Amino acid sequence: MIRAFHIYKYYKGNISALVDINLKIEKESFTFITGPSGAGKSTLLKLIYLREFPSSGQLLIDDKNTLHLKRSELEGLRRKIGVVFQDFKLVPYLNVFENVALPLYINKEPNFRIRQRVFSALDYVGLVHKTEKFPPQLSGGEQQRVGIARAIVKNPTLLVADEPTGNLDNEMAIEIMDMLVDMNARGMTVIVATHNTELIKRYNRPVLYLREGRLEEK
Amino acid sequence: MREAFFIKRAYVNFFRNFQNNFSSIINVAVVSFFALFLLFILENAISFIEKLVSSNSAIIILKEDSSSEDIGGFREIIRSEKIVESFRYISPEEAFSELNRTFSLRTEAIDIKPERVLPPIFEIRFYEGIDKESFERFIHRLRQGKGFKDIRVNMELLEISFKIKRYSILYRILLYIILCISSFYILSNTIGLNLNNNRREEIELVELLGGDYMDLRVPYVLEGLIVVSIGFCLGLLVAVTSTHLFVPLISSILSSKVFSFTPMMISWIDATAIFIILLVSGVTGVIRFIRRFIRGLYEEDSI
Repeated sequence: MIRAFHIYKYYKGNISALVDINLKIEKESFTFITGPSGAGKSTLLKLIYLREFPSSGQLLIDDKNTLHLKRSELEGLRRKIGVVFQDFKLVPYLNVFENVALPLYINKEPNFRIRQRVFSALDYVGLVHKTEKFPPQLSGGEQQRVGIARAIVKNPTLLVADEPTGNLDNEMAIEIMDMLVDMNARGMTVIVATHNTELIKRYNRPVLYLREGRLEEK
Repeated sequence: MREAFFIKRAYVNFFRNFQNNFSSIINVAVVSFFALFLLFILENAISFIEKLVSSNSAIIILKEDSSSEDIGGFREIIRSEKIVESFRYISPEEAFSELNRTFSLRTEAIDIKPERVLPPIFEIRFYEGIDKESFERFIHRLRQGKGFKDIRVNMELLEISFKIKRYSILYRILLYIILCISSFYILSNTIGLNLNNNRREEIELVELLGGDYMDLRVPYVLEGLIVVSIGFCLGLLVAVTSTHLFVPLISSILSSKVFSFTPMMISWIDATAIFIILLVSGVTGVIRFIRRFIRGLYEEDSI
């Protein structure tokens, strides 16, 4: 599913965020990425969900080199990836239904399918009764569940979550993680970046440990 | 549903940044007003000169010994000419009796043959829209006619008319270029100011979800269309109102027994042309800004 060969990522000011990253993430696996703050977890995820691109090296997603994608291929690949953010990134003036439907609008799905899929995703996260609410009217946990519904509504093959429980209490964090594990059980490749060691221990899945931009064996 | 989503995004964003958008609406209104008013002045200056040209008749003088066939030939040339609005043939006898009547000459005692002292003439009036090329072609045709002697016309006035028309084209092009540049920068600056953090996140999100150029640009283009349309309508309203006040004033100043001129209102063709120019260049400005903005999202920090 994902293969990385000697990936480096630099930012202006000669800051190296990732150094010589080599990794392989299998299809339908569940992988944690962890490490201290500033270790490069979010940067690595940004490369995976195609928000940024490597400064050098090769990153292959579905056997496609992310550095050599045409605009249309890039759009197509992004549509196969679901992303869950720590700060939810919901559009404040769209209601819950519209926020979840956003990827389907972009996919140009027909109206009947949009309704069907959005209700199914909202049913999965337990928010069918809040379709008309706007993000500011929801709690943090509910907003994150909307974020998950938006990520899974298009049935992505890869689900990437960047600190999905970072803004939530323990109980809600476990609830959100259970959903991600369940998604994985249904055949989705899931990658979760977190610095919550409790959660990592609880779910006992493969872990990639990053320190100062380098992958370390743990 | 996708279209409704575009419209909703444009509508909500328009009001989220109402202050910026409102100032742009005023800018577009001011630019539109000045463009419309300047074209109103230009069109009326041309129309005024044309009216002067048209109200001054030209005289075609034939040779004294022209035969009736020669005169008939000239009649055909003049009749077939598109720049001639009306014409009148004046025979030497008619001219002579008119002179007699006007000046009360005492010619009974002497034997004067009018055709020996006066030439046959045509009095013509040109259409208001006469241009230099048509006029020169007409003169060329007249010169080729058998029996042609001379044409008396107010050349100074005609030259002014031709010059004004020539410069009006340049002036119009210059005005349209200024309009293009103004609209381009007004709109791209507005969208630039509107792209605060919330909207930046929105663009990033739409892009991460696999949004194509349409998804990213259409809401901003629609927002630009709203700004241009409202701004232009305001400018048009002010321009039409002010010209309505001007027209009776100018007509009363320029009206007399021998000559009267009523200014034209703002032409709808000019108004439509200005609107299209503002729209196209404004939208181009928005598209260019968004394209650069999206490129910048990836280039600003990374190497």
